[in-house]
Order: sequence, then structure tokens, then C-alpha cells
Amino acid sequence: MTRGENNTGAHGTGNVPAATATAITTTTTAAAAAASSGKQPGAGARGAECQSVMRRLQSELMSLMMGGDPGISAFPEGDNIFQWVGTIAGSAATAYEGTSYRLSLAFPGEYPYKPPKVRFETPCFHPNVDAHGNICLDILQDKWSSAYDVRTILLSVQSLLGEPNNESPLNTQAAALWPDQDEFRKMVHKLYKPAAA
Amino acid sequence: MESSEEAVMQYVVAELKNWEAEEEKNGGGEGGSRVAAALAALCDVLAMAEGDLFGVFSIGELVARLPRLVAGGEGDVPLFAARAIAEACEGVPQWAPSFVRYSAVQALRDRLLAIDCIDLAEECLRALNIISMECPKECLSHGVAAAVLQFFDFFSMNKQKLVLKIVAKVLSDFDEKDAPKAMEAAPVLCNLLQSTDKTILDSAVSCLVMVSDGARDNAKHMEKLYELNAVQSTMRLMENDGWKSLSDETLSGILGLLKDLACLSARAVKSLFELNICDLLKEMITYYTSSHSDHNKVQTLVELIYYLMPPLEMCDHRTELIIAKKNVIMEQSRYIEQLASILTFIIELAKSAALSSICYSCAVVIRNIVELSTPSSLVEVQKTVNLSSLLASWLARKNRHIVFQTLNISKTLLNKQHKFFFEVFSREGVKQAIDTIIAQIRDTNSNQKQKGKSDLQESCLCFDLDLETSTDDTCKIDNRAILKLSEEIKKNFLVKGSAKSPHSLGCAFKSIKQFFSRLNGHATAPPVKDQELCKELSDISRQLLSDELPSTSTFEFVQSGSIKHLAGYLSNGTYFNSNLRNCQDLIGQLKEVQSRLQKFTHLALSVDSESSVKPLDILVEKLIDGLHVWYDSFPVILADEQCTRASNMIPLRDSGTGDEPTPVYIKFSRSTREEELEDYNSVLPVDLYSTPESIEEVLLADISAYKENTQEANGSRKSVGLTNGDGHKSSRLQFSYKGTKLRLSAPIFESILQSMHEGQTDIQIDSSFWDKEHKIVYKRRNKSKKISSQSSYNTQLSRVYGKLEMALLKDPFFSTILTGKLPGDLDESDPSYNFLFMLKVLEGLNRFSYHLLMDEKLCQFAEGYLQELDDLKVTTSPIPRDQFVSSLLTNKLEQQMQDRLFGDGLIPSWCYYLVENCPFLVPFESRWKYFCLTAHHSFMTEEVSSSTETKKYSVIRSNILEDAASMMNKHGSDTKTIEVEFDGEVGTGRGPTFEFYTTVSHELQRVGLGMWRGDNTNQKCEAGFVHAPFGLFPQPWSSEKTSSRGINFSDVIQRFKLLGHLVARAVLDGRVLDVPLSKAFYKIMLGQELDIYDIPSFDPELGKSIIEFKALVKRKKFFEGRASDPKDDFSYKNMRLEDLCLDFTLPGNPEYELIPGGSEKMVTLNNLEEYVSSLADATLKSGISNQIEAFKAGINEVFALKTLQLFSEDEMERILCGEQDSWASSKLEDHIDFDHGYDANSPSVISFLEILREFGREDQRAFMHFTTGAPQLPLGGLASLDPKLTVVRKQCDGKVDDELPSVNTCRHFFKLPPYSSKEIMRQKLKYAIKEGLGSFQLS
Repeated sequence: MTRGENNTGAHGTGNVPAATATAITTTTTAAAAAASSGKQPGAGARGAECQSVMRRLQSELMSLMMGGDPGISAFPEGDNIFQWVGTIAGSAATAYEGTSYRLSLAFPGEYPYKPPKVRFETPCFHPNVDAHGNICLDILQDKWSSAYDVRTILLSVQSLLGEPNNESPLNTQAAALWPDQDEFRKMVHKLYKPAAA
Repeated sequence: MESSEEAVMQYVVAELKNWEAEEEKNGGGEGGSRVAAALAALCDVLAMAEGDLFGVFSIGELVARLPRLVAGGEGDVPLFAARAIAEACEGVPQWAPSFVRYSAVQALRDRLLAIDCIDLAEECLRALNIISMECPKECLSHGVAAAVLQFFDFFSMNKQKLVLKIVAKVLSDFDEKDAPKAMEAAPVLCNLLQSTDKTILDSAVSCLVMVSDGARDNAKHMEKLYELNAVQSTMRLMENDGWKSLSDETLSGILGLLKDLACLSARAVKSLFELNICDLLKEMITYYTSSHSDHNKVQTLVELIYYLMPPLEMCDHRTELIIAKKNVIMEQSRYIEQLASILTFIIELAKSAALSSICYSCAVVIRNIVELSTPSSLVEVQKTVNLSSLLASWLARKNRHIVFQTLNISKTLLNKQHKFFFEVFSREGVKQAIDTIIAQIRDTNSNQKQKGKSDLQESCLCFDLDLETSTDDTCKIDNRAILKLSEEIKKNFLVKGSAKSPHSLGCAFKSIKQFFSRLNGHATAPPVKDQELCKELSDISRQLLSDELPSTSTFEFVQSGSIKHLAGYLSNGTYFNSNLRNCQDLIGQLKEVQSRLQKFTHLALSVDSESSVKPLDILVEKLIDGLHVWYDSFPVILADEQCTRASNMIPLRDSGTGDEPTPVYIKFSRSTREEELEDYNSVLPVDLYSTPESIEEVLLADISAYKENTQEANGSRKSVGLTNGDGHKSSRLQFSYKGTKLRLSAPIFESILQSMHEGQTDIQIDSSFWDKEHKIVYKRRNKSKKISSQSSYNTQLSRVYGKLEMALLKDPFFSTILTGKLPGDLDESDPSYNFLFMLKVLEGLNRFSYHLLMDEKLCQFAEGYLQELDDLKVTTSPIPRDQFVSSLLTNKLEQQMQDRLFGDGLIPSWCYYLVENCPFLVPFESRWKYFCLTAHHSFMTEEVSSSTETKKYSVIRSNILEDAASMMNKHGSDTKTIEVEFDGEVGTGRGPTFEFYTTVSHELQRVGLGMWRGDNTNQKCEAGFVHAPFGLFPQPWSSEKTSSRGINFSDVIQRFKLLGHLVARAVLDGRVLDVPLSKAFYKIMLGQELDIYDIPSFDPELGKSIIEFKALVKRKKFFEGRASDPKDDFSYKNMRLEDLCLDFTLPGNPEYELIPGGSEKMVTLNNLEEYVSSLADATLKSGISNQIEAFKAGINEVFALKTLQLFSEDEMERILCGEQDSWASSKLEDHIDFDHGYDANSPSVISFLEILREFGREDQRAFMHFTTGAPQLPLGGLASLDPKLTVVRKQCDGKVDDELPSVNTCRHFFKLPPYSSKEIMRQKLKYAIKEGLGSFQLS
């Protein structure tokens, strides 16, 4: 996400200073922290009690399975409804054609008021994705709205693959390479390590 | 008494006699060495002798002989003789005059001048030092001053200082006839001005000042001083900011010296001009009026300017000098230019000068400069600083001296450039003011004939500046003189013009009038529908309020009645008929006023694309200007001639003088017409801050018919004072002083003084005031009391209070506009009232602009004018709060606070009023000072230890929260400063105490305490601390749960109480907390209400959604009343609300049910309203009320939380957390990376870091917000930021200096264009972050 640049990319990740902007800090270690803080009183109890979030996630799961959007899917990981694994396929006619990426989605207790933490699990060579899989996408930060859901998120990430925001890259190498689509495609596939399904 | 000393004495005398005899015989002799030995013995005795011993024997024999030995002795004799004199005088100073009688002074002086040997000279100095103390006059007349200075350079540093001490004593007070002798010292003293030693320099200046003081009346002496290069030397000391490093006394001395020189020597004036005195004066005036307010200096500076010019009034015996000065000025046109350039500074100074004496001096100086200036330069001055509006405001003053001088200035201006100033004077109201004066004086004159009342007394200011010090005749400035002058001006300059020009007021006048009456009419038109009218209005408003030419003058603005119109419009008419008549319609009235405020806010804050000035800016500026005209409404009352309090910060506990507070003695007696009450008829010492209201209670107990003799039994003359607590009972007594009824809320001392000094603005209390008994008469108040509209409004409001959702409706500013009346019993007929009223309303409107505009947007969405929820954005930002600061009132308050008795309660009622009801008029620094000086009234313990006593406590580090809590519970309310040490550790004092506060404030941020929002997300607490990017805000707790997730609610309550204690101690002891509380929490602390528009400030995501939900609710309500029911409009961003799967529990905390059984109840469009209000209530009120209560109780145990309400939330944070944010300046570069074309040594990076370091807290925060998306850094500051803040070079295609910096908030990249200068970089940086900050809440 960026500020102060006149970028009208597909994801609207740029905004000029005058525009409204509030965001939470992305922390690379967020997921690790969440895991390590399991001993906190709240964490253990959460799964059993957050009925409204569970209801919401279950309903999302249903509509995802019914909707059948091409190239995206998501499913809770194990018993924990707050931890999902999503998959997106690289769209045709992009450098990512033929690839499939796994993402992790961690939902907070305040979902849908607060966005889930989304990360690439499969290494992804992309201007807006860093080495840890963190994604720089406005709707996951300050442009989040309670009306968004897993489906919107996955579709947004999918379209981000084909239309990166090169103005404020997390991966500068990828941003530099982007103009040369052939080389870029090679690089994507070279670094692509699909998870053993 | 036989003693060895006496023996020695006798031996010495014998020896001396012996020698004398020998000398007579053979004319000089061998006895010299024997005499020397005898004298040496004498010295020893004298040196060893105890004081009382000297009484035993007579020294008479010696007194006569020693001086002769000094003068005539040879060898060591003079040395020992001089030493003996010194020893003797040191032992018994009374002997000094006897020595003087026997020509000791001459002898010592001659020896000194002969300078045979340095030892002898030093002994002479020593002796003279003591003699000069006793007999300075004799020393001076014998030329000691010049003599000791003669061989100044030969002496050691210590002796040099001694020399100057002697000179200072000798010169301390001398008659005119001795002036020539004093002048002899001047050459060396002038030379010493070049000394590099500070002590010598300071003493030399002070000696020189004494010389010139004594010789002030003699032009010859002054010429002499000039010839000694006094002007050049002193000016050299001051050049290149040298004056800033001089000691205060020395600087005052130099300025006084220059003043004397300029006064009497035309050549000195010339050389001052040559040395660019004017530039120096400009700097100094700016310095001493802005940051280092010092009215004595300012007064001296203005007087100095005065003496640079020839006086206007000729006097007989100085004609020569006046002509000489005139010639100096006339010779060189650039001197006049220099003076003219200083004129603008003096005008600025005069505009905010807090004392009449300074105003008067300025007026005199302005008059002089105006006389000398060319017409064209005067036109320039008028255009740059608006001299005429100052003149108009001066003409409205009570002080006759100022009025008289102002009339003279006006006359001169009209004389010089009639056409221009005639127009300007009409526009700025000078003409009208003169008319008013004529009318007033004629009126009082005719009244006088009837009543035979004489002119009001006014302390004369004339002597301040008059050239002659010996004006015995009484001040000539009286009403007659003023009338004569005004009529003259009117006849000669103003009459024919008015016949010619049809618009007596400026051209803009009419249109303003029109605009505001249209505004009133506009109120009835349907609001948003009439878009065209709205646009038209905003066009007119911008045109009128803009500073484009021809601009509207303050006078026109005020005169056009715009304030009344605006007040009438905003208050929906209640401003005009202050009684809120139809109380039934209160809700309707509330809504109407709110909608008018919204409309006006929209208008006032809209920005033209071309100019960035908002109409509100201009409106406020005009109001402040207008307020300044009513200088007389805010009288400064001083008890002391000199101000004893330094103008810098004062420690909180410094409560006035430290002694018993000064009381006023008042004799209360019964009115002759009063029969019911008993006659008290005795004297009570009354505290200064006592008002009739507070005295009544005490008095009533005694004078009621059924009194029990309790007060008498007490017997002590304890002052009657204000009792804590504010029980507002209706008053039953009416007090009066000399027939004038006393105002209930004004301190008694003030009312008495004002009636004693009627007709004066600034009051200097005569010392006899404190000794006198002042007689006050009381009687029972008439029973027929009017129910004040205020109280009836309050009862009405309290009835509907629960229904009010918006916080702004409960703010004092809103009740002000709703009732059309300022809080308190301010005199509504006072000319300043309207201005205060309007400023209060506009300040509130500005503060709540986000709330108002957002609410308006919601309404627009509801009614279908906005389609998308994403359009709910407020893009305008309020104007900076410091726009509301009045420089004049700030200066006046500062002046008042400098008085010694301020802490005792010498506080005029306007000070109370301003600080409590209009705090925005005074900047933070002044309010903090006020708080410190008055805070001791609000301490919770009885006795206040004014000393800096401390009390030590020890805590165990591993158990710090519990220890801290128990310590604070036991000792928190102690008035002594609390110091803390850690058990088992060596450190003690400041360090550990500071660490204690820091550690406890960190511990209170740990996760798992259940205190703060964000505690249960488990997402961002790497270090085990709650990270609240937008500041800490209490986490809601359901009232039904006593524990949750293993946390006991009672512990949470305890922690909040501890936080309250910490906050209170931090204020009291000047400690700093490291706890990033949210602005909203500070607002609660300061007793302000919160509403849903505050939620985004601490939880943007929740805030955004809940405001959107509220908009939906409004839309649904709006359409419910209509036939058509387009279902589609009620979707939440194309989703059905049910699909959000929300139930009635607190987000993130399913245990907290918003309503009973809430976890089973789903949120739908139909119950959305209930959901929104119960969620807001849980978040802002019911869920946190117990925590807040505990927190407040913690503070209140130490001092009354209410007293902090004169601060804003930002200022509160500044007080508690200090100026520096968690980024320490020195560590900046350690925690910032530089990349992509920058490294730590790039020029841009160096400027960038410099700018960051210069940033204040708010700017730092705005910068962090812009760069990382959150204003609050995690605990540990910049170092804990992950990823690290990285500054990279921004590639720019076009002109670099047109680019703005940009950021990548994901990576914390700051992209900085390589600007051409630091100044441009600062500008662009500030612009970028400010714009971001302006839209801070607007997610």
C-alpha cells in the first residue's frame, strides 16, 4: 500500500496524501506471535465461543463451495475454523498462467470488523509480495470493510497477480523485471515451488 | 582592664609620639623603622581584636595620626598605617567618619596615585573600600572614584573587582554638584566596556549607569560621555546578538544609559543612527514582546526610541538641543526611513500591549514618528499593519492620555495625506470614534452641570516621557483638551468629506449586512434542496470574508451587526430573546440549531481551490481583532510596582508568597433599611479570592435572627475563604460598597478596587489599601427572583439528556449557542460579550467540525443525496486551534500572573472567566502557568507543603504493580513529592523515581490484564504488551461478569485506579508517564462526552463499520415515513445485513452480550438501530464506566480532576507524557535505514533528520501516521518498528521541488525527493503529513 503517489492501478493501492488513510501495521511475525501466544487465556477459549464469527465463516464456506468461482478455493485447516487455507490459480494470459498458490488466512475474533491475516504459503515472485509471503494489498489493510469476505479477498489477490502495483513494491527485483514479461514469466516459474498436495 | 592589647596600644601611641617629637627636632629621623614595627604590632592587635574590645580604649590618638603617617611616612610606615586604618575600620565601621575628618581619604588617594609599590596601593584600596561604604560622598568629592581607577590595569583581577566595588559605592548616590567629580571616573569606565571579563564588564556598566544617572540633567556631561565613546562601546557589546548574552541588569543599564545619552546629546543620537540602532531595537522589541515578555524592557526600549527624535512640544530652555536633534534627523533622509521602519514594530507591539503605560509610550512614539515621516511611507504603513484600526481601538479606551495622543496622531495623518486617511478612517472607524468621543464628553459635561461632579481621577502618565523632569503643574490632558482637539479634527478634516461621500462606511458594508440577513432568511429555506442558494451563499461568504481587496475592515464587520446576525442565525433566534420561552420545543430547537451549525460549518471550512484560507480563519481573525478593541473590559490589577515573579515556568507547588495569604479587611454592617437581619458590624479578614457568594454562607450564620454564637467563640481571625465544592445555592444577601451593588461572582477586592478607581483600566493598588477597613453593607435580597433561563434550560436538558446521542450536544459550546447566552454571569451589556460569545461558539464548531460534517454526510446518505457508503467521507479539516488565541488577553493574563499576590488570589474575575470558559483564547503555556499558580486550591489534603519536601518509598521490582498500587492507595494523596527506590537496589532519587513511573506505565500495558482494547486479539503482542496503534482505550467489561478468561474484574478496576493515581502524581510531581493513551481516553479524563464519531479515533475498522451501519439506519428511518420503499437501498455494500452473520455480542468478545440473550439474536436491518446504539453504548459508556470511575477516583484522591478541564486532550497528553515522543532525537539514525540512492551522509538525508528532530510531538505523530499508517509507535519506539523505517530516494520526472514525498506503509518506505533546500523539504514534508493528519479520523 502506498501514499502520496498518483497511481490508479486496478487495486487502487495508491492514494494521495489528501485521501483518507488509516491502516494497521503489517507485521511479518504476526502469525508466529499468534501461534506462540497460545497460552493466553483468550486464545484457547476463542474457538469454542466466537459463535458469530463461526457462523459467518461457516456461511462463507457454504457460499464458496456453492459459488464455484473458477481458480479460487478455500477451506478451514483442520478443526480450527479460524485458520483457513486458500488456493488461487494464476489467471490465463498472465505470467502466472499455469501456477497455483496456497495462501493461509487467519481470522481474528473481531472478524468481519477486522480483516484476516493473509499470506502466501507457496513462494511467490511478485512485486507486492515479500519473501515471507506477506502481501501489500489495500483491502487487507486500511480499505478493509466488513462487507468483504474470503471470496473477495481471494479474487483480489488473484487479480493482483496479473496487475501488480509497481509504484510501491515489496519485492523490488520483481518490480524491476515486470516490464520484461518473458523474463518475468521465466522467473515466476523458476521460483515456483508448488506445495506437495 | 589590663591586657596585652592595651599594652600594645599604649606602646604604639608612645612610639608615635616619640617619633613625632623626634621629627620636629631633626626633621625626619631614624625612628622610621621603629614606628613601622609599632604599627605592624598595632595591625596585628587590630586584626585579632574582637568587636567589643575596641570599646575599651580610645583610638582618638591614632585617628589623627594614622592618616598623617600614610601621607608622610617613609619606608613601610605608610603601608602599615594604611593597613591599620583598614583594620580599624573593618573592626568598627563607625570610626570611618573620624578618619575622614582627619583627611584619611586624601592621604590614601594621594598614596594610590603616587603608586610607589603595589602592596601599599592594595592596602589603600582595602581601606578605601571600607571608608567608601560609610562616607561615599566625601570619597567622591575627594576624587576617589577617578583615583582608584587610575592604575586599574596594574591590579590583579581580584583587586580590579574591588576597585569597581569601591567606585560603585562612591557613585551610589551623589548630588549634582559632585557630578563633575563623578564624570572623572567615566573615561576609565568607558574603556572597561571592552573588558572580556563578565564581572568587570557588568560592574563597569553599572558604575557608568550611576554616573549618567547623577549627571542626567546636564547636557555637558552627556556630551562628555558621548565623547568618551560610550555610545560606540555599548553598541559594540550589543551587536550580533550580543545583547542576548548580557546579564539582565547590564542590558537594562546599557539601555538606560543610551536613553540618557540620546535624550541630551544630538551627537549621540546621530551616532546611534549611524550604528543602526533601529535594527537592534526591532530585534529586541520582537524578543521581549513575544517569547520573553518583559514589560519593563519594552518600556525602556520605547522610551529610547522616543529620545532618538526631537520632542514635539517646544520648551524654552532646551531649544538649542531640540534644533540640533532636528537637524540630525533632517540631514539624512535614511534616518527617517529607519524610524519609519520601526513604526510597524511599535504598532504591532501596541496592539497587544497589556498595560496602559506602555500603550501610552507607544502612542507618543508613534505620534513623533508620524510627524517625521513622509506621507507616502505612512500610506505604506497603513497598508501593512493597519495603523488606523489601532487608532480606532485606542479612541475607544477610557484612558484620556491615550485618547489625547491618538487624536494627535489622527490629526497629523489627516494633515499629511488627507484623502487617503480620510477614507481609511471612515472604513476603520476612526471617524466614528471621534464623533463618539465628542458626544460623550458633551454629555458628561452637561451632566456635570447638574450634578456638580468633578472629572474622574486618572493617574497621570505624562511624566513617563516628558523631557522635563520638573513639571510641577498638573497634567493638562483633561476632557476639555480632548474635546477641543476632537472638534478641531472634525471641523478641519472630517466634515466636508462626509458631505461628499455617500457611503459613510466602506463599500463592503452593505453587502455584509445583506449577506448576514440573507443567511438568516436562508434558515427557513429547505436545506439541501436549495443547492443553488447554498452555493450562492458560500460564494458571497468567501468573497466577503476573504482577504482580497477591497477587504472588509474589522470595524465594518463589527458595525454591520454581522455578529448579531450570525449569532441569531446559529441560535435560531434565542440569541435575541435570551429566555428560552417554549421549552416544550427543546428537541426541535436542538435539531434546528444543530442543522444550522452543520450548514455553517460546511460554509466556514470550505476551501477555495485557489486560496487555502478558510472563511472561518478570517472570521475568527476579525472577531479577535474586534475583541481587542474592548481592552478596558479586562483590567489588570497589580499590587506591586515591580513584578517579582520571573516570567518563566513555576513549579506547581509554588503557592504565592509562602506566608499567610494577604487578606482584605472588611467591615460588614447592616443596611439601614434592613430590619430582619442582625447587624454584624465588625471587621473580617477576607481572602482575596472570596466572592460575595462565598462570604454569604459564613455571614448568614451570624446575622440570622436565630444565630448561635459560634463564630465568636472561635475567636481566631482566620480568613474567610472559599469552601471546597461548588454548592450553587441561590444567594440571599445583597452586598454593596459605597452604594454600588457588588457582583456576586466577582471577588470582593476587585469590586472595591474598581469602584475606587472608576474610570481607570489598569489599577495599581495603593499600599494603604491593605491596611484600610473597607465598609460593605448588606441587606436581604429581594424575594422576587427571576428563574434564570440557564437553569430552566438545564432542567429541560437533563430531561432529554438520555436521548441525546451526539457528544457535541452536551458540550458547553452547544448550550451556549442553544440558549444564546454565555455560561456564568457575565455582563451582557459589556461590549466584549458578543465577541466572546461568538468565539466560544466558533471554537466549539471548529472542534466538532468532524462530528458535524460527518453527521451531515449521514443525513445526506439517508436522504439519498449520497448513494454509496464509501462516500461517507469528510475531507475538510478544522482550522488550527491557535488561531483562537488572543495575544492581547494573553499578555494581560501574563501581566496579572506576574504579580506577587496572584497566587494569594489577586485574580480579577475576567481571568477566572477566560481560563474556565474560553480557555482557547489563551495559549497552553499561559494556562499551565495559571494552573500551577492556582492548583493549590484544589489539592485534596488540607495543608499544602509549599516546600520541596519529598517522601521516599521502596517497591519490589518483581511485584511492582501490587506495590505501586498499595503505595499509591496509602500515600497517593500526600502533598509531598513522592520518590521511589527499588528494593535491594542502590539507586535513589530522581533516576529510580522516573524509572518507577516508566516501568509501571509499561506494566499496565501488558496483555492479559484485561484493561485495554486489543488485549484479546492475540495478534500483535510480540513483546507481551498491548499494541494500540491509535492509542490505548479501555476494553469494555460486561456488568454481569465479575471475571472473564481468568481475569478478575476487581483487579482491572484496581489497575485503573492505580493509573489514576499515577496520572495525578505525574502532574503533581512533574513525572513523565510512558503510556500511549488515546485521544478519546483523554477526552473522557477531561469530562467530555464521546459519541460514535469518536470510535474511529481509537478503532478505525470498527468505527468505520458502525458509522456505516448508522447511516443505513438513518436511511431506513427516512424512507419509512414515505410511501415508496425501494428495498435495494438498504443493502450493506450489496450485501444483506443478515449475511454478515453478526449477533448481539461485542465483536471479539462473545461473552459480552449487548442485550440479554444477545448471542442468539442475529443482527438484521430491522434491529440494526438497536445494535448500533447498544454497541456504541458498550464501547463508549456502560462497558467502560466502572473502569473510568475508578480511574477518576484515583485522580480525585490527589486533586480535583475538574481543575484539569482548562486543558485540551492534546495538552493533557503533553503534560503527562512530556514533549518528546518515544523517538529520542539522538537515536534517530540508528533506527532508520537509507536506501535506493541515499546513505546516511547524503545532504538530503541530513536535512531530513534535522527536520525530524525539530518536529514537535504532534508533527512526529503525523509523520509516523503518514509513514506507517498508525500514529502510535509500538512500545520501544522507532527501534521496535518492523520492518525498519527506510528512507529512499524518490525518482522525479519533473521539477523536484514540486514533488511531494510519498510512502509505502507496508514496508515503511519513505520516498523523499532530493529537494533543493532544507526549507522546501520542511514545507513539503509538513504539507504531506498535515494533509494526512487532517483526514486522520476519516477512514
